Amino acid sequence: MTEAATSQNAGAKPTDSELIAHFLSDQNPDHFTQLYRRYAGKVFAKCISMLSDDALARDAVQDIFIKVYLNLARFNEKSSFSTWLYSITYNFCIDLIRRKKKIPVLLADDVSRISDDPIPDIPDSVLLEMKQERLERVLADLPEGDRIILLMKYMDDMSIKEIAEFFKKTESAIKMQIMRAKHKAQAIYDSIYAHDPIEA
Amino acid sequence: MQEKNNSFKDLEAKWEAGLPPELERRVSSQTTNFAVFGRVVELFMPNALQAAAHMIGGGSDSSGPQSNDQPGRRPEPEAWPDWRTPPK
Repeated sequence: MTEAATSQNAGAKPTDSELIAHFLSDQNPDHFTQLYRRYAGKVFAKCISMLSDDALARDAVQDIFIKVYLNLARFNEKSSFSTWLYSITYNFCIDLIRRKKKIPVLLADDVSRISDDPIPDIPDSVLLEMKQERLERVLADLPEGDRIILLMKYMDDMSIKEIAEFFKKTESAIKMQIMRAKHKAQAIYDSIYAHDPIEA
Repeated sequence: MQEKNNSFKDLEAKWEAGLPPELERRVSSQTTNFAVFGRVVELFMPNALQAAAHMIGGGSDSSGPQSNDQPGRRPEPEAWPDWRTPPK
């Protein structure tokens, strides 16, 4: 409320909530275009990271924004617009992956089995400080579920609780999934760059 | 606070830069079509529904002002002649 009032008074850029309110009151597509310009890049980055296909990612961005356009009246501001939009993006891409690859579940539900055999954690810095091109290669070779969970954690800074709520799993299950995904990433890295392990 | 190195964010920036500009036109034309279609529905749908109701034998809203004009309908009480007032 205060944010919206401030931005109106100061003549600054309208907030997301203001744009949505204007759009819902007059149905002017220009307000929606402004929202698109704000978030299309981020949505495209998420789509391309999950789908690993440029053409599929383009179509996905278009479909996601049309979905948002048609459902904007249902946005209840319990969360921020960006959180709502990114959750639509994740759900859309996960559905697409499931349909295309016929994978019923993206995250394996075998936490109880592996929790008896603890595996050492890999420090975050191993992934965070990996050279960009190498990280891209490693992510491309990871299974979809592992890739998505790492992107949620390290690209979107989602908390374990938020990821757990998204996948409807327990926090300990998500922690275990992240740990496993990091191990897989490390193994892929070692197999590809065994000849040149130290980055320039 | 020291800025931490995050290759994921760098990768995201690279992917963001690859957003094709023509995508905005595609989304924009589709949303404009939806908006136009919405306006058309908003303008013509009530009349179309009323016409359809007449075609299947329904009348207009009984609380409406023209309801007494319908053949066979009883006039509203205020339209009845008042027999108690003697004629002049």
